[in-house]
Amino acid sequence: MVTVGDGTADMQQRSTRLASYQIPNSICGVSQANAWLADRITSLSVSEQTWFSMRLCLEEVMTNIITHAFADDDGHVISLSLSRLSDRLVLTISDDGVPFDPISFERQSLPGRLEDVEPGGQGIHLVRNFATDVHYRREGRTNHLELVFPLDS
Amino acid sequence: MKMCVESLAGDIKKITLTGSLDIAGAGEIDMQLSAVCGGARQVLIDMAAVDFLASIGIRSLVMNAKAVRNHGGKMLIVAPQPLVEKVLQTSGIHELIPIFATEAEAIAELQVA
Repeated sequence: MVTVGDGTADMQQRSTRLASYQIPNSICGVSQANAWLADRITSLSVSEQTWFSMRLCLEEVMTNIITHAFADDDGHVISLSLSRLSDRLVLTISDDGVPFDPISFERQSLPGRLEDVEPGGQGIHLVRNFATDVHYRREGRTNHLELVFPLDS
Repeated sequence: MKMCVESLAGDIKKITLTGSLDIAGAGEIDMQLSAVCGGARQVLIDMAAVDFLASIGIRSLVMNAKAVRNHGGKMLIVAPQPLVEKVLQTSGIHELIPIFATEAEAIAELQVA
């Protein structure tokens, strides 16, 4: 189960940045982000489960940002960075969209009948369950979401 | 993402999915999946060869399961890989679209229904 909170300042001081990437806010950006992460991961010791979790969380966050974060039709850039922090990997996703703290997001429980289910609302719930830690902070006009995963020995 | 459809005895459509059910994969099969589920009464989704599932894929499964249910049918999932099953269970979808370990068990369930 995920632990959440704002521990980002401490992380920034001790982590080593491995790679960074910038992506336009089009729906194609989700696949671009996935390809970028896959390339970065090949040189690291990451289990199948960790890779699955990172890929899932990145896809859900990117989809959420591209779909919901921007109130205008202007071009925006979403920034990704991958850092190593001791035995953990930290994937940071930053955007200049509307403030959105996924840690405070309350998921509505599923109805008991299939007929009553409305699509959507699962992405953030999956992120909170598949990342080891989730940290959010708003700096100026930018959201920074840090997702932490285990780096296998 | 690839999708293969077979007709089984008992008016059952078996849909075998292969690949990643991510935003790209779901886009590749959405129309074909909707077309099959729109006319099928019993649907078995074989997910043994699906190596990844994101919420866009869950959305696709749920919408099509609803379509099957709306005309009196039932959709079941067969043999998801462990991490894909974890996504299904974490999202709670397994309570709405039942999961079976084998095709034989799923067919038995559909024949009872």
